[in-house]
Amino acid sequence: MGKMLMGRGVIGRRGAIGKETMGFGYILLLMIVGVGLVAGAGIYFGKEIDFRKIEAAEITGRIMQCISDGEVALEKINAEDELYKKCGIDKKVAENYFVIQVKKEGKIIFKWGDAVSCEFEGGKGNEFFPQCSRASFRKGGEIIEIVSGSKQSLRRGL
Amino acid sequence: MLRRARERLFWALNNGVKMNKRGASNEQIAGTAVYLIILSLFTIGMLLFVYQLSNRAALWEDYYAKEIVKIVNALKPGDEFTFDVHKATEVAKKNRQSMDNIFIFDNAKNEICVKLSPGKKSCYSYFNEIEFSTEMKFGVPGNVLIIKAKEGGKNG
Repeated sequence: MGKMLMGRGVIGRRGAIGKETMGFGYILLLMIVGVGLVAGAGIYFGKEIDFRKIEAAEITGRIMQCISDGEVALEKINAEDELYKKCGIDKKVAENYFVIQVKKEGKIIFKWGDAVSCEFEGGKGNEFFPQCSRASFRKGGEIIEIVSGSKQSLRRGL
Repeated sequence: MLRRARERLFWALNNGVKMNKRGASNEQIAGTAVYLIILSLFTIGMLLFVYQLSNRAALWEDYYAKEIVKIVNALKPGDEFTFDVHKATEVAKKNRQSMDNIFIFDNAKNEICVKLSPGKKSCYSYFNEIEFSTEMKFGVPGNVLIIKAKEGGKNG
C-alpha cells in the first residue's frame, strides 16, 4: 500500500512537471510570435515611403518634353542655367537633391551630380544610392539620352 | 461478475475517486481558461500595437508630403487640383493639432511640410518652378485641399 501511494505520488509529480513545461512552452511561443510581429510591423511602418523613383521619372519626363519641344536649344543647354530656366525646374532643389545627365549621340552635353551611381546594379535597391530614371529619344536624327536620379529623403524637424 | 463490478464502484466512490475526477476536470478547465485569457490579452495587445503603429502621425505625414509634392511637380500654370485630405485631418484632430497648420507651403524654398501632431513636421521639396495658392475646405463631404497654380508660373 505504501509503495503504491509512493508510486502514485511520483507519477503525479511527473505530470505536474510536464504541465509546467507546457506552460513555459506556451509563453515562449507567444513571446516569439510577439517579437516577430513587433519587428515585422516596425520594419514595415518604420520605413519611409520611397518616392525617389517617381520623382526621377517626373524630372526626366520634364527635361525630355522640354528638349523635344525645342524650349531649350541643345547647343545652349550648358549656358547659365538654361536647362533649369527653360524647363521650369528649380535650380536649388535640382542641385541639392537630383543628379541629371543629358547625352547627345553618347556625348555628355549637360551634367549635374554623379550619374555614374545610376549605373550600379547594387544601387537599385539601396537607399543610399539615388533612384534613377532613363529616357532616350531622337531629335533631328540625333539620339538624346537623359538620366536623372533623386536622392531626396523626407526631412523631419521643428 | 456484476457483483464484483458493483463492489469496485462502491469502493471507488467511498475512496473519493469521483471527487478526484471532478477535481481533475476542474483543474483542466481552469488551466484552459488561463491559457485562453493569456491568448486573448496577447491578441488584443498585438492588435492595439499594430493599430497604433498604422495610425502614427509620422507615417501619414510622409504619405501626404510626397503625394502633394507629386501633384505640385505635375502642375502647369492655371491648373487647379482638389486633393482628399480627410485622413490627415482625422489624424491631426486625434493628436490635437491645429487644422490651420496641417499643410505648410513655402513657395520661396519650394518646400511642402506636413504637421499632424504637435512637435516635428515632415518636409519634402518639389522641383517645379511654379507659384500656387492653397485652400482647405471642410465637409464637401470629406475634407479637401485645393491647390491652384498661378497663371504665368513663378516669375510670371
